[in-house]
Amino acid sequence: MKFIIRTIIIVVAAHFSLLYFPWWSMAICAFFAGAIIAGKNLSTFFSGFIGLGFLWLIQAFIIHNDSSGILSNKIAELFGLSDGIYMVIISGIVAGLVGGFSTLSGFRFRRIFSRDKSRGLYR
Amino acid sequence: MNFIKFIFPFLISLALIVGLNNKLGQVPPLGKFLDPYNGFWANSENQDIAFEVSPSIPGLNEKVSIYYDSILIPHVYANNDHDLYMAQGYVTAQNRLWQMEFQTHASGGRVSEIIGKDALDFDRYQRRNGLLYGAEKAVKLMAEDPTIGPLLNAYTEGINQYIASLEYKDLPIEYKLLDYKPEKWSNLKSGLLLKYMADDLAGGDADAENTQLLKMLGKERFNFLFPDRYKDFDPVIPKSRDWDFEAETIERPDSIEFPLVFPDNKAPQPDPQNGSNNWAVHGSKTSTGKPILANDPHLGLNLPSIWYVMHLNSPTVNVFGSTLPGALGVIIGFNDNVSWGVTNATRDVRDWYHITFKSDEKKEYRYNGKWLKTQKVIQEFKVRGNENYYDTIYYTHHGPIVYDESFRSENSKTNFALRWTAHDPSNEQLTFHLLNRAKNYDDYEKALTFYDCPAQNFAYADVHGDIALWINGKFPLRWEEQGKFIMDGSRADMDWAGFIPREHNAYMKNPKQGYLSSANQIPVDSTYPYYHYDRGFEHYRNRRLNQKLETLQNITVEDMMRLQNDNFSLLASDILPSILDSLNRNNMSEPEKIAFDALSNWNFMADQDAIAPAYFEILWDDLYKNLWDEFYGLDNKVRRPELPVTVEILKEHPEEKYIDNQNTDIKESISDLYHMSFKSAVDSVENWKSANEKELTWSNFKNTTVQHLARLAPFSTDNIQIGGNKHILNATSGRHGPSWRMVVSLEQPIKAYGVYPGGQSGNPGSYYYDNLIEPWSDGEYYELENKANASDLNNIIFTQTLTPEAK
Repeated sequence: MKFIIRTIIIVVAAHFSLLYFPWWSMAICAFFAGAIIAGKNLSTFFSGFIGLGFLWLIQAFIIHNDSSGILSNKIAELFGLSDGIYMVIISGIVAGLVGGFSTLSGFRFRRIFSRDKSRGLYR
Repeated sequence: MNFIKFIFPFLISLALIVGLNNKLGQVPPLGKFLDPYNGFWANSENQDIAFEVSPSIPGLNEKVSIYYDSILIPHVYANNDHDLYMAQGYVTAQNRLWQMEFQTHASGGRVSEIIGKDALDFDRYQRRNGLLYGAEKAVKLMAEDPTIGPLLNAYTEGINQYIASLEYKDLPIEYKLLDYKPEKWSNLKSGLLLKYMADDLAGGDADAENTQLLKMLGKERFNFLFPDRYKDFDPVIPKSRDWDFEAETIERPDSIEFPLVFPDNKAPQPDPQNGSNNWAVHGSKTSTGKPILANDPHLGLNLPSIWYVMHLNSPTVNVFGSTLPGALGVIIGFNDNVSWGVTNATRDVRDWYHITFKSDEKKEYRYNGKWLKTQKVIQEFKVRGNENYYDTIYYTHHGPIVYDESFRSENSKTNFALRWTAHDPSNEQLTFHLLNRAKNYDDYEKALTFYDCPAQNFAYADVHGDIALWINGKFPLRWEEQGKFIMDGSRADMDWAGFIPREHNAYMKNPKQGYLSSANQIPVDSTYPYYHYDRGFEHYRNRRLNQKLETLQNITVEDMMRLQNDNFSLLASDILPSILDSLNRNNMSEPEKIAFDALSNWNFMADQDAIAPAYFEILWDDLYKNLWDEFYGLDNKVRRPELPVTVEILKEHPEEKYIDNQNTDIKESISDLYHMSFKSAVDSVENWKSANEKELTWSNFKNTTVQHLARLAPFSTDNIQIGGNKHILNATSGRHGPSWRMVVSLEQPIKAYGVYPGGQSGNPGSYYYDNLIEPWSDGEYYELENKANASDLNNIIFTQTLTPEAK
């Protein structure tokens, strides 16, 4: 449940942030989401990875599709690839990696301060 | 422990963000670039238009309405000229910002700032060549002009308002790929754009090569191989013209010795294929009884397209035609009364002077028995990824020292100054301003008086029935052979004595023959009282054109379109029959027989599906190289004889020593050369067939390519299915061809048609980036409607209203 909530928060916050701020602003969103909604290492990493990865993947796919790949196919060719769909996938992976590590960083940041408290509650 | 567990993912995140935010070698900053919200994805478009509907523009006086038609030509309606040109700047930038900036960077010698040290040599030549120097002088004159000054400011302001509205997301894709930002536009950049054209069209000369050839061959042989005019020439101004004026006289100095020195390594010059066709046909020869004008300028085939087509309307003007992104007004076009078109008046307007300095410090140089002071200017070059570079350029009264020991001339004694009309202040913008508003021949004639460089043949036709053609520009007043070779910079009698008076420039109005045309051939015959020279007048297109114009009657617009797309090769028809006569079909291999039959049955039309032109192309190139092999292998220090001389030797001088190929032991005859070239052509074509999966056709073989300005292959279009070639009216070769085709019928109302190999949008992500290439290659045209009222426009797909900022 926490995983889903965290992932949704990341997607929504990053989406609005990207409308107004540079691309790396989404990493800050992911960092805070990781810090606010704690979980396990893997679960925080993957909510960032899947959240931002799919956000970029889906956005890129919609654009690729709506524009009939006029530009994405050309950019793919510049990168030595045969089809614009690869640019969709690469965009997703890049955002996923940034998302995964920033969310994990946020979570680990919280743990620096909150270790004893959480232990006290759940042990 | 927890801190360590934090620091690892945190450092990885940071490294990812920083790494993906920076350019790595050729790879753009991937994070920024791939972001679907702001990166390259944001440049993806389709047929929908995504311009802002009503941008608010500070500085605008009133609203300006812009209607984009089905091929994205903007029809701009403004209530005053200030707003009109502000809108022109804004709209052009909206479509072509990167191109405008890149071209002016190239002109000003600033490409290294974008792409690094690989471009430094190019940049240094641009500055030494004096383009920036000339642009600064020109723009000062334009800014001071009471008419052009304020309009130029408005145009610049319009571009800057667009630039100011941009965020990273909105930048043209090239900025994102190369990772840099547009800077503010300035009047100087408009000046640089005009000098970019001057360099492209009047930036060539052969002084150093001619000097080298003179040394190699001696005077007599030089004159035979490189004559000033050829047999059977057909000048721009018909031979029937009488020169009814008293010409200025100029004394040829008694003792001329051209210094036999040259730069070790000349910088590259513009493509000698740059040229154009234009013609005006009188009403007596047309089906409507009104004149028709046609024009197609031949330039490098680039994307974004060199031309941007616009319709500009204000209370003082209603003009339609092609504009140059970065210059105001319409360059080639028509209004309600007149139409005009240009071709390059290829004419030598650049001379080189050998300079003798007093000492290595270059503070003084010898002139007329005295020492004159130089002016020393240090030019700064910002080089991306490297430290700034500084180049010292010395100026003499002739002009800048282009070649010296620090640039392409290793010997400290070989210093060369350049005198070039493009260095002089001039106000070409005023010419276009007046032409855009011209109502009759007198207006046209007056407009041309402000036009200096690059010299152009201005064809003209109007609704009153007049046609005319002026060979127009500022031409040095020269004694015979002045400027053909490198000259001694220390002698005053080598300087230009002045310029040919404007009214003595060659022109003709309403000739009896009923038409006037130009296709970069020699301007006038030998009766013209002024010396005129160029290294390469075209010899084939113009004669084909005049032969057709002579015979055509009741001419329609469609006839003129067919003529622009005419694929007849006069060169092939001139030489091929004698080549084929010397070949014996009986002892040929199978592929040779196929080639021989194709060539024998060829109607000399270089049509896209024909195969004979492919064989002829190689055959001719090879024949030419074998004939003039003596002239190859000398680096780029000499040029080779031109085609008319080549054909003449092959047909009439079988004893010429050049016919023997130096690389073989036997002594070749002409028919040996024909055999060798024929076999080589067949081999090349067979090799091409095995290396390519495509069918052998002329268009596949020729592979016409419209190339992106930064030479990015995916942003270019290759293998365009189109016929034609150099020396053919449809001058479409591999990388070069008609960059805008326009036909205007001067009936009432005017009917006009145009097309060009590209598209209105400069964005490779837009449908309108290259949508006109196919119609262009198919010989199709679009109707150009210069309706005075916006409500009469057809096929409008998008409307934009530029709104003054609320006060």
